[in-house]
Amino acid sequence: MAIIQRAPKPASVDPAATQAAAKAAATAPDSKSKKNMRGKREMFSVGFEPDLLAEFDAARSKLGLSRPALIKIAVRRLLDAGV
Amino acid sequence: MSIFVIGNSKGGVGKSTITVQIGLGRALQGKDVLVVNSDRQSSSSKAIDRRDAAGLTPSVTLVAYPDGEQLRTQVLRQIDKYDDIIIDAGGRDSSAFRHAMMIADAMLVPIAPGNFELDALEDELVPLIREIQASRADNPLPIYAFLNMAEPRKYSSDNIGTRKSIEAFPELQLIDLNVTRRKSIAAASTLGMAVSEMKPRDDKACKEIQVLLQAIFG
Repeated sequence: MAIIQRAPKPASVDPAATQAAAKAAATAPDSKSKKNMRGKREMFSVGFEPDLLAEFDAARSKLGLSRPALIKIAVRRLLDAGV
Repeated sequence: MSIFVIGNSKGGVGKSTITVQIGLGRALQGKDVLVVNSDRQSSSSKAIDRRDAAGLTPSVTLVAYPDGEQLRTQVLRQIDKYDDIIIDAGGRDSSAFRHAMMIADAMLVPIAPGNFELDALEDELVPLIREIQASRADNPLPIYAFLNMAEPRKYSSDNIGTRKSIEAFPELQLIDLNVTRRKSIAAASTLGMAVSEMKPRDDKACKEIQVLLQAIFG
């Protein structure tokens, strides 16, 4: 009878395990991939009129979202609906 | 089939020696064994190379994946082809060591008696284990420690002191076996031989490795 027990499930059967492993390994001292787990993104700045920004901020604070989050949701919906 | 990691963030504790003895011990039991190195040039690779060069059989399949993601992908791809996969990992915190801990079914931590070893355990390995267990979430890795390169007298103060210190860490389960620091084990591993293949035969060494194999495989 073996003393050494095995893990409850093999790593290969858990689809979430790959991402968890990548995250765990990303903090290793030799890790080359300090990559952004959210993927590549490009930055740009947009100027808002103060009134529109105030309205926008009021809406996002109700939802508890950040400015970039709400902008991305809005753009996604707009594109999905067809401009 | 199971994946075992022989790992410690501290070098010089006999990971490669143990990897060679477990890998060849299983091969001699008729199992198909894959030995994985997390370093390109490691002692266990050289040992198996020597075995193959000497034409000794049975042998084990040997691969090296110093890159963590490659180690994960390749080992998982080969999992059904072998009875046992033994990963010789660590010596330092690395992405390969972490990936090995993420895919393993169990981990064995050889610990040599000594204060440096215990410092390294507390400062490096235990925090790493905590991080990995948090990442593995509902699938914790069973981790076992044993004394390797132990003093010949089982109850020597160094052996007992080290065991007591290890017991203070709930992250590791200390198993009741010591592998003693023996010339025969070191020499066999360097030559890529199971200790049972060495002549003249060192019965005490053979018994210790046998007990270790039984603890892992039953």
